[in-house]
Amino acid sequence: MKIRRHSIKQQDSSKESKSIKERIMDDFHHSSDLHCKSFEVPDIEITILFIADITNRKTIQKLIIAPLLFLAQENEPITPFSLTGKLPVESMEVVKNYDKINTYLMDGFTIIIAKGETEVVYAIETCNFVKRKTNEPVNEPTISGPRDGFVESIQDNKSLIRMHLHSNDLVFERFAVGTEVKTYVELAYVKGKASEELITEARERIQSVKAEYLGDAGLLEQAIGKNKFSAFPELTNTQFPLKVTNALMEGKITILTDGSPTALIAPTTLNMLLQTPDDYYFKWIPASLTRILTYFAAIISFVLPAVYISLISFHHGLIPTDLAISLSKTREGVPFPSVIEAFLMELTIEILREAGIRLPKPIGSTVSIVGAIVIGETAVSAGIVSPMMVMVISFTAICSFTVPNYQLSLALRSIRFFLLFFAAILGIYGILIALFILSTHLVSLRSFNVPYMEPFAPIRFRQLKDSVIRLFFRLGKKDGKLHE
Amino acid sequence: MIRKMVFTICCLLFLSACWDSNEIEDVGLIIGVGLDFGEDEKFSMTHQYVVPNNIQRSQGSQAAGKPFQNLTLEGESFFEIIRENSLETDRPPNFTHLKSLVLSEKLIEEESVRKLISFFLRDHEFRRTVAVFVTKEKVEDIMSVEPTKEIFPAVQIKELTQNNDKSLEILENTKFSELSSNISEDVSFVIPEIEINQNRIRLSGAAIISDQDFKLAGWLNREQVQGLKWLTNTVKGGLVSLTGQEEKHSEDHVVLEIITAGTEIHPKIESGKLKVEVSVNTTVRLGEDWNIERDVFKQGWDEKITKDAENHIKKSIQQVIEPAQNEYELDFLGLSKWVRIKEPAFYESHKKNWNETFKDVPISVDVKVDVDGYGTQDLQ
Amino acid sequence: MNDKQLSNFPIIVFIISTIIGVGIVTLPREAANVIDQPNMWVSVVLGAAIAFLNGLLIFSVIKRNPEQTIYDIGPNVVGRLLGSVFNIIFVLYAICISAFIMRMMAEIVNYYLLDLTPRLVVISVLIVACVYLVSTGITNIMAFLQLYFPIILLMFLLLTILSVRNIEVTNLRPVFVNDIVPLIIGAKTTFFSFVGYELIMVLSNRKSISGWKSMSTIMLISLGTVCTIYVLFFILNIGILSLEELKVTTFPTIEMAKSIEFQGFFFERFELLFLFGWIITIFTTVVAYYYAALLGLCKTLRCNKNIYLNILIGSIIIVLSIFPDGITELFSYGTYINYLSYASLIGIPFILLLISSIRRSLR
Repeated sequence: MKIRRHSIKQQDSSKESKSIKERIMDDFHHSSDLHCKSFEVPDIEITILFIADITNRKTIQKLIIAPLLFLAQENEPITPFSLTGKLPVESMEVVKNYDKINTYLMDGFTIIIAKGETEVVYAIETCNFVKRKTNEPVNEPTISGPRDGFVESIQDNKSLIRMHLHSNDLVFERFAVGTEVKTYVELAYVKGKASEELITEARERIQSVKAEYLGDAGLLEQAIGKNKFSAFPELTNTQFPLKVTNALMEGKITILTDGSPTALIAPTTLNMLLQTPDDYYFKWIPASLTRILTYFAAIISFVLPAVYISLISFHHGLIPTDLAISLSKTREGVPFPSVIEAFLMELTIEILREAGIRLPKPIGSTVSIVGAIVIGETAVSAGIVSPMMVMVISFTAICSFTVPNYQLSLALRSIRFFLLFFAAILGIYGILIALFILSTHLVSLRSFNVPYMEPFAPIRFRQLKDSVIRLFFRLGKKDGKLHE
Repeated sequence: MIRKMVFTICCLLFLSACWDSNEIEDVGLIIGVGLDFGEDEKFSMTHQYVVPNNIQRSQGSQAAGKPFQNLTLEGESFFEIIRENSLETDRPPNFTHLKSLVLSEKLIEEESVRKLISFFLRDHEFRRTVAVFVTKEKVEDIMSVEPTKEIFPAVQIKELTQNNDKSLEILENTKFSELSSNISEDVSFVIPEIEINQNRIRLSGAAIISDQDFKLAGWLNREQVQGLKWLTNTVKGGLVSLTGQEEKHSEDHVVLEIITAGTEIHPKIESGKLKVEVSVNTTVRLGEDWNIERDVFKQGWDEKITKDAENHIKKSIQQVIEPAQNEYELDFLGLSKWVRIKEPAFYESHKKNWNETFKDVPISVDVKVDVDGYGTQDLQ
Repeated sequence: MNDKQLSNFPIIVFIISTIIGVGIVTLPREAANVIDQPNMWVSVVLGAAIAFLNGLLIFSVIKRNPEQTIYDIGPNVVGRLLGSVFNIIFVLYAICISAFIMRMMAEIVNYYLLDLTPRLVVISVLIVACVYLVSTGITNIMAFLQLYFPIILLMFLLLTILSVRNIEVTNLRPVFVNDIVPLIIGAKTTFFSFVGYELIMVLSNRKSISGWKSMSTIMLISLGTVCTIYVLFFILNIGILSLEELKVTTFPTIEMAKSIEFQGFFFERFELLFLFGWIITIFTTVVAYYYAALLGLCKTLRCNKNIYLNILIGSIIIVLSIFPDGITELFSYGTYINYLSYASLIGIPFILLLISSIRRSLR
């Protein structure tokens, strides 16, 4: 990056003496994919510039070069200004600012420099970026919902949102973020639903990002988040268009990043992170039960190892006698204290999980399953860990898989160690203290000025019906908003 | 400053952390305790330790030895004995899973139960649900009787009274909590007795503990326990067996199964004198009948049985009232409780010498038996 | 529930969380020693009534000085110097009560959960959590209390349901005893278990609690809820432990929870459940007083919320709570604190009320 800045400065000194074409060529350091074609139409000299791999060359041929050559045969007098309307393209913009030329080129536009008495620069959209077909988001599988997921192209993503939300109140605002290299960011909201303060806040936060280059939504998320010392996600990450449209209808805002299949929804609450779109597609009784299960599993996923440790090495009296006896039998001969044992197993399972993600998919799942079984089995039979510990740790891991949001499950995984540490020192009392500290943190968290623990703390009675449980919608009534 | 403080606290935690951490397998779980007099020194205490390794878990594998280990030690006080324990086992004794406490007859004859129990009540490790028993046998022997159903003798002892709803002779467990509330309320009470019978543990009667000094006052046999259960309204089921004695000819043996039972105690003051009326209401069903001639489809077939059963129950109640008032002069029947509730003024004035008052209180027993039926079929 | 009540809900939660604390564990024994009657729960209701009367006194002070906390009212009414003295008394009271509660909690934690862990650690760890929570401000404190409020209620409910089985009804009888005198004397003891409602004076700068109606609603709902819980636990305590036993048990409610045992159930023992919930109530109480002390100190010294003051208060509480030698001494400290509470519950509001009404009539 630094070298680049240096070179740009060098150009500045010599830019007056060169023609536009040369200046562009210099700016791109004569990169091989920058194509340049010059030809003469009567009176004016036309230069066409485009980056070959991100433009549709057939379009350029058909819609730009061919008509221009045709114009040359017509023998009609043309000036550089009169080129507008002569080409059969949807839009043809006159570029007045030299700096914009580069941007246009990089967006896949074709630049036409018409040089007569004056020099006029046009930009015509001919982009043809590499595109992936929309397919099901890997991170957020759904049972009965729509299967389409966001892709890397921001245009396609916008089209997906428009497809799911036919509303003229849906507004997109485009920002170019990045001090060195611009990345397009789109702020989406439904006018009338989202509060003005929220929109202003979002605008300000996006505009104040001071990064050189934002490659992905994940970076943007960290750049616009304010809770730097929190493990919890401040914005919801999703690749699922319906989740975005639901959020938009609830009055939230969404930020799309060009080149990233992930949309960011704000404000985010903990409650929101534990919901899945599927919850709304089923009837409310099973949906509520699944919700309760999700909450329960989420709590277990960070509390269970700590509770187990504190019971087994601090409060033996609180375990039922039969269980205590069998636990002490299974732990007989284990060389480590249970805390170390738990840390070891946790570490193993985290490593397996990471390995599963990094490896190619078909091998990955095999490795993690085989690894888990083999390591668990042999560790137990070798007497290094107790079978109960293996059970507790693997159950915890499975519980953490039920958390719908990956960011949140990462956060819970980190907190598990925090709790484990406290439990190792002070037992159940330590767990309580850790929970106090954790909940203080959560309660004081704000995501775009909305309390993170809403609707539990502060309690919002109206919203509670869509939290741990999901009551039926009162459709048809005035307050029958689906997602409130 | 904040940083320093946080740092200090963290150091504090790290450096000397885990004060109470004690792995479960390093703890000697004690599930039964027996107290007795020692041979040389004052007390002997038998601890029943769990030996987890010897518990048979999976199929097949034969355990190496007994799943429990009894350690009997002698000493001047219980605390000393527990300390001495640590000389012999590498595991610190842990009483949080204590199930039963067995006291020997000799011990409670000499020592007050209040003193014996106070140590156990003071320490938080002991739960209030520990069952207490008394035995005439040697405590060490009874703790090492091979259990039949459970893995540990101490658990077996505690579970013996599970069937108190099936038999009239089984008292409910006397728990620590009851013991301590009886002692703090200054009333006499009973503790179930266990004995070894053909190398098995079984319940027999009960020991009476006096409210004067909380020492052993006497024993109740199994028949008297029946009466006590009727009086204290703890009958949940069981049998009323009318043997030939009542009917004077041996074929007429009738066994009645108790369906419901309820006892009400009404203390009454008549011209300054206390009078207690006990009324028992019970519903029974014909369980076993050795009289072939009886025709249950005839009106009034149950008249005789009803009368006999009433007499039987009345007699068994009187069997326990009689020694309570005359022999021991102790109110372990729980009458004082009812007098306190129903006649608080009288109780307040006679609280101090309640046993004196109790001894002369006329107790009238009224039993009502309702024969409910004879089961599903009656073979003629 | 209408919107107005809803806006007061956080305050109700705040007050209930403040009141419930040590009282639920020790009050039954104290009351049993004073009253010695199975129907001593009547005293609890009487105690609540006295608390409500005291609440009315506090209200009339707030009513005359709307939208101000007690720390603003004092200097406004009696002048800066005397007002500061009042404030310091109130701050001292809050600190002492927090220290007392912390020590009590440390005793119980040491007794039932952690035998060997030094008391200093037990106390300072909780104080650290407390410093953190208080430093995030009153909005977050209230949110925190709301988060744990359902958990506390659920714990009490569960414990009640589980213990009902163990109640021996005869222990509760006779219900009607003619002797009313001990019940009235006992109300003095039970009254102190309702202490905590006075912290409404710290929250009184809110608009929503300036009216008589909303203030008395807040007080009625919070005192009523606490009173119900106390009466319930009194009945459970007497029914399970019996009166005589109650007198000699140090922490009767925990012993009561210890008597619950379900054979073959996954959790055989429920005192853990109770202790878990109870430490939460202790924490909420301490946080509330801690906040009151911090706010008072900040207002008196005229500095904005300061992390150094925050830590200073924490250290004072730690030192004070380590100070008593044993549990018997601790209980005797309780009586000294009672004098402080007389001063800050009745004395200060009364003087403020008197002076502000004199001023008004002079005008």
